[in-house]
Amino acid sequence: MKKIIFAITLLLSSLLYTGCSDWLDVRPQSEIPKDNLFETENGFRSALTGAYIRLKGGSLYGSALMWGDIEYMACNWYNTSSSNTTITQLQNCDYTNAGVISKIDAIYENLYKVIADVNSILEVIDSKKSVFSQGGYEMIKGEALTIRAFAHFDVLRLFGPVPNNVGESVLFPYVTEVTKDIHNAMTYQEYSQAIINDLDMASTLLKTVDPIMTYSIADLKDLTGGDFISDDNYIGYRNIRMNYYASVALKARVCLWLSASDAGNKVKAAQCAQEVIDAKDHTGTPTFRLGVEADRVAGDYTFSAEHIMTLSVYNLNTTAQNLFGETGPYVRYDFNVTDGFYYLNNLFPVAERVSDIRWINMWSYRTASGQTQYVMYKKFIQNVDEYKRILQVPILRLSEMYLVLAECAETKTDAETVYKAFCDKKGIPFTGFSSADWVTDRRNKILREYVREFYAEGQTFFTYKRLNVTSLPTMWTPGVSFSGSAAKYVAPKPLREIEYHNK
Amino acid sequence: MKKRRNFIFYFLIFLMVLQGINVKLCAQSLQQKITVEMKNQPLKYGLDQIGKLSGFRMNYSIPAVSAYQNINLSKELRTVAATLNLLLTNTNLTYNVDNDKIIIVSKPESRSQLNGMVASVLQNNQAYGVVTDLENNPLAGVSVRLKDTEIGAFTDVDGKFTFSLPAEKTNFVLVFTFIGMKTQEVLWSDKIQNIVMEENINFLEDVIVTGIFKKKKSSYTGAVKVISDEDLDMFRGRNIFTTIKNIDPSFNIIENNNWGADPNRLPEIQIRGAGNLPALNQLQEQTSSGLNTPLIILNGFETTLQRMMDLNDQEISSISILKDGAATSLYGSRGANGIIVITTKEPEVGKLRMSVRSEINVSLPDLTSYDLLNSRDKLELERLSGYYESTTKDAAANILLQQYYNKVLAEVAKGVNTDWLAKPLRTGLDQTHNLKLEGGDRIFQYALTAQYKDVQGVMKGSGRSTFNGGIDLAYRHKKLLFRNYLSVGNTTTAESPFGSFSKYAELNPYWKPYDENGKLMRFFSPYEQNFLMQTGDVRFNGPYPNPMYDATLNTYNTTETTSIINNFSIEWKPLEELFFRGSAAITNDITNSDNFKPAKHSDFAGYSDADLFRKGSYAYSSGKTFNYAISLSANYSKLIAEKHSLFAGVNFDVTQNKGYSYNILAEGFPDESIDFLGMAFQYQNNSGPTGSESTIRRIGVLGNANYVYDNRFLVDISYRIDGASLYGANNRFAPFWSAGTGWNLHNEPFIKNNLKFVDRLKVRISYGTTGSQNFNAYQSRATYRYYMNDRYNMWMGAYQIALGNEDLEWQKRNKLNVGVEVGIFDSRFVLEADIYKEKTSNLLSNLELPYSNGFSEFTENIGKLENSGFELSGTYWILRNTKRRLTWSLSGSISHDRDRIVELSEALRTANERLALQGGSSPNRIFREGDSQSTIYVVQSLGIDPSTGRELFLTKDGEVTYTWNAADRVAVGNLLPKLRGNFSTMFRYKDFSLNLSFGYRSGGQIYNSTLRDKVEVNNKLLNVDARVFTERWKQPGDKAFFKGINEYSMAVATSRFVQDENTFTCQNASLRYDAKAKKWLDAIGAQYLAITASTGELFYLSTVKRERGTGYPYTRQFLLSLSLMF
Repeated sequence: MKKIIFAITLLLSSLLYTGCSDWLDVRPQSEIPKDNLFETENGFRSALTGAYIRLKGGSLYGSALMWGDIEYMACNWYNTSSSNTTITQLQNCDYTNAGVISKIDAIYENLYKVIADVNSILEVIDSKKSVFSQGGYEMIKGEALTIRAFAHFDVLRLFGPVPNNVGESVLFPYVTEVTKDIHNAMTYQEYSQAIINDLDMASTLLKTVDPIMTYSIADLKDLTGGDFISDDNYIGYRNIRMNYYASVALKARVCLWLSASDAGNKVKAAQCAQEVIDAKDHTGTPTFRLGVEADRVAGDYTFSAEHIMTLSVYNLNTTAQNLFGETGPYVRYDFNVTDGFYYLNNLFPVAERVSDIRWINMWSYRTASGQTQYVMYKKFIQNVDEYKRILQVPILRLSEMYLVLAECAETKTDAETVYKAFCDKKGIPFTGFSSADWVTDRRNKILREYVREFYAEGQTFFTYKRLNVTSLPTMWTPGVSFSGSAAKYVAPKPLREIEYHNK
Repeated sequence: MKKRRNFIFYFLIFLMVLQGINVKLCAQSLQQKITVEMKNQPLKYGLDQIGKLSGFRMNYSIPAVSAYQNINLSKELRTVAATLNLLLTNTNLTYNVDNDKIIIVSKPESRSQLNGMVASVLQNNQAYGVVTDLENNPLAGVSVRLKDTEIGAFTDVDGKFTFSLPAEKTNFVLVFTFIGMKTQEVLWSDKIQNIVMEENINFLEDVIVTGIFKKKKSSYTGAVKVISDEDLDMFRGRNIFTTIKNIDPSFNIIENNNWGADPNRLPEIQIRGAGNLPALNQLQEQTSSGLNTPLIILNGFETTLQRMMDLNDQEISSISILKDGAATSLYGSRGANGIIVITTKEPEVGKLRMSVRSEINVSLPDLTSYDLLNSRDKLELERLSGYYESTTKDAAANILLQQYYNKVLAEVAKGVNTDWLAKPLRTGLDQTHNLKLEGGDRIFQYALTAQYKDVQGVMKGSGRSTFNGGIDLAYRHKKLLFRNYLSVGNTTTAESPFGSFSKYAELNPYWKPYDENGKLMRFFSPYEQNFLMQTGDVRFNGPYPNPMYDATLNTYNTTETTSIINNFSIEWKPLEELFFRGSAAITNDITNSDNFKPAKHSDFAGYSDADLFRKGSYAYSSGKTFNYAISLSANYSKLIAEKHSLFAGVNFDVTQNKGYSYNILAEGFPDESIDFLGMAFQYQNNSGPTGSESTIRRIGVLGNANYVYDNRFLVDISYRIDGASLYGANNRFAPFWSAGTGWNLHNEPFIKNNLKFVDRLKVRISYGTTGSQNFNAYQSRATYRYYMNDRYNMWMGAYQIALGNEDLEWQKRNKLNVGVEVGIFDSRFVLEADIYKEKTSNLLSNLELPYSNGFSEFTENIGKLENSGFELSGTYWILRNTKRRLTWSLSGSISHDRDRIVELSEALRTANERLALQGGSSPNRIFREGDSQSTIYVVQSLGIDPSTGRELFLTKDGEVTYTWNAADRVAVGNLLPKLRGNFSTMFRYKDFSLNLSFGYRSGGQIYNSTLRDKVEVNNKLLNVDARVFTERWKQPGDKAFFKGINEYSMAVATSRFVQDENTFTCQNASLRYDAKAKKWLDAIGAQYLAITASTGELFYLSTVKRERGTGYPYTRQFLLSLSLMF
């Protein structure tokens, strides 16, 4: 009898307990519990979109890593307010300055936040395959992996060592989990291998499903007409997401970086770059093409045909007006000598720039009184016609692939072939690499192309760092002079990280 | 008395013997109708006639009846009884019926009028008797019931009662209850029952209501303060919170000098000090309100501070304040901050009874703490400050200033000296009216209550009016009792359109509100921009606006709350020892608030032309909460072998609290007559609708056992398991427990025999664990929220708000309490003392994470606090003569509480050290391990340098400097008083009682911000404290407390402004007259009347001279109330 009572009590209480547990699991109305979000494909999409939104935020590619802090560090902008010492110290890459540190820390913090955004997806996606429609799983997982690699690579580019001298010490954690536990830091080799692994896995997944393998960018933007028709717009617009070619192009960028310490990577970089350049849609038309004069004339100053991966910024028109317009902070200092510019003439020599589509009509003095010594840059200024605006900030462009290919070419001829194709489209006269030391000449020419091509796109500083530039040709930078050193190129890890990892 | 009873008893025996033993009631024969006519005939004739016509045998003594000769009786058909009654009116005779006999006897005296009755009912298993008060007045309407049954009756106008007793039982216990009287239990014996009821003085002292179980105080081991409805009446304060504070000092209202006596401000309440630390974001905002608010239980279910404030206080039967572990662990995860248990009155059995109570309260603003300059001195101060003549300005500017000075001087000469403090104030006239109807028989009882309470604040236009209605029904069926309590409350609050009182306290007395034509001025004149601009203060960017102007506009800030509470319960008592109770409660609160300011309001005076459309604002918010709770309990109590008393109870409860609120901020209301939200031009700049939502679910199982051995040793244990949705999935359930023991030393033979004057000596000790749940409903969860103001292309994105912590658990507070209760000389002197130590651990705090985790922080259970203190309260009856109804008592209480931060989380520690480096004019709250939460950190001041008029500081390293540095701040005081307490004296004579109660605080410090804002103020364009004129340093050699009059260094947190605070207040003085069972009351049909006159906060004495009630003044209250019961 006692046993029966005991058994019944046990049964009842366990029933009660589990019942209560369920009942106590309250679902908030204004928030979605993590578990519930990942019950549907739409939830995964929302989480992934959240990562893109963070990427286009001010601490990352909405400003700091695009035209903001990182461009100040490359001395591409002039500090118009001498009282703003933070900017001055940022130009000097003075990492002892509290203002500079807080900016740098914010970049680090936000890159890892993006990583956490996608890790939340990657942690559960394999167990939730069944919630996806055809191809949805591969696409979301591929994109998430690419974003994870992308953000980690930017941590490495900014906070890691100068790539030709990487050492053996542990750097940062390659994070694949969302947890409160402290992640262990990895060495340069482990860390970079993790990036490559993620990218490889991403390309493998995306290759099978990404419509960009078949359709043109234009087709993917117009889902109701043309070759690609779908009632699900999330499948379209592939170039504003980490598509298959983005993962390949990113690998090219990463391998080129890694080639400084391990030359073997040059081949991989070249292969990847070539694959993107050769990409064609089902009609045989190249998926991406280099920008031409006609694009510029049409007001497409970032040459959207080149965008392999670009961030969609719906309010870019206002942002650009505020930042690059008559009253914006981002200007070059210059003065009007006979050729119009004193400093810019060194970057865009008068003789070469006649038909340079990155020059024509892109630079102009301000007109407001007291402001006329400042030169504005037009790259992100949008067309007055609302329908002709290109509301995108490029992350990976085809021109970079040409430059990678040129830089990785084994022979002078191969390098020159690629470089000539590039020059032709950009409207600059092609001159072959000096036969005396063609490698050095190639380095210098490509360095200048990076600066001119990716001005205000956050690539200049990293190119200097990758090539370990110690000084620049005279007067490239306006009113401030740039000098490179490991101390400047390696931004310090936030103190908070050091405190925790030393424990 | 005893003698007389015996006499009556023997008389009855005699009668019975006389009439034969077998007595039976023959009511039928008395009902037969006869006609007896009498015309000036003797009584004897009439009695004989009755005997002849009815067949009864008439027994009477000739001498007794011969006194009545000339009797008239009309010729009518009447019953025998009626005929007899008529005949015997105006005689001192009455009759008894005994079988076939009618016996005419003398009427008993009023004390012994039972005789006749007794004869008729005795031996028929009837209970009977007379109930009187101490002065022998019969009490009508007293409920007499057989204990634990529904059998019983009410006394009639003569105080008599009779009812049949069940035949199958013996040893009947009768329970006598009457409003305002002590309930009595009397063992029925076949003797005549003459019950004398005593007035009820603190009748609740014996029972402790925990909200879950009722406990006898003598067997209880916890520390609880029980407040009766009468206490509430006698210690009446501004609101229920001040009333409770006046009674029990451990119930502490954290004084907020800004809000003064604002009727719409909910106070911050602590029981036994603060046991929580604010979260990181609260620390940054320097707020922590609500963290330490105790749990409030109304009739067994949780309610809010707001509801408690608006409660119909006439309906409160008792309030228990549960403090220690044994008492609070019954509430497990919610008990850490202490518990206030409110019980409302149950409907009383009886005839329909109506009670009316009306109250008028007059509030007068208390401005004694203000000492402002008059217009002449103010102008002189400005002149001395060099505002009218400056060497740095050119001649033209100086001439302008001089001209302006002359204009102001002319005003002063004309006698302009505006008393700005009086402008927004009025005499508040509050009214409260209560009506209650109640009654019912043993089966069904009902009570209907209605209350209207209108509180006018002393700031014009501010107020709070409440309507409360309630229906309380009880139905008994055999051993079941059903009760339903429905309460509906509606409260409307209004803020004063005059704005903050501080705005008026700083207006220059040489300004006047009205122009020559008596029209209200929008801006003050004379006006000179050069004068106002010289300090560079942006507030003076133009003519100074008259704040009274806003009050003339159609502007309002009101909130309306409607609250409905319904409690239903079923009680079942199948056995004497066993009791079951099931109850369910629903609470529904609806709140709407409207805050409208038209375009002309001074808030928008600084808007540029571009923002023209933004002028005028409307803040609307609407919210609703719906809570339900179900509670089931069973308890068993038994006395075994006369020595072992056992109580065991279990309780199970389920609660859901769900609520939401929406807020809309709209702007662009060009015209004051258009105050319709729908007509707004737009949402407030860069905003949209906002809102919040929360659902909390809770479940709890409680077991409690109490064992008393021989009324000497007590043991009390309880165990509770609580589950709540607030906590992490891995820690949904948590156990709480308590154990307490006590020893009734007064029941020990060695005390009983040797120390006879000791009638109560109890020591008790308890230890218990409790928790607190003062955090966000979804804090433990990893949740996503959609980006509301951003998108990516055409897709919406979601982000994870917080990392979530599935291990998040309760904040735990362990409480140790040792108490002693003493009563000596027949309880002439009673004393209760408690000493306690509480340790809070698992304090919820933010843990910093490295950035690479993707989340910068994480909520974790880290942090420890410690509170310790003591409470002491005692009463001495100087006079206690119940017969003459003369009593005089003195009561006093002391409480002391200290807290210490034992451990802080890393994040909180760093955040605090960061705060410690930020300078400021007021000392910000800094938490340091080892110190109290309320420590004042300021830089040590060495006073004012007599040679320069500048302040000298002492650095941490002991150096003397003129420079103030935030890092030099040290702990120089504590806001908590060392001792806090009350004392009161109550004098009663007959129906009059006088009560005086005082409060004191001693040993704490205060940072006197008046000295900073009104005395050492740099900007003297507005009015200042008179001490600026008299006590500031003026020339070298002056030994002054305040820095130089023209010393413009920034105001800083200095130890000079930290002052020792000792205060003494007259909390309450009241005089009451009670009348019960008076002839003149009968004349107006009333049973009871009480008149009370009282004052609140009559005076406030303090060692700190500062402006009290800066945003809203404090008040003195004068109250008159009248209660009547019909």
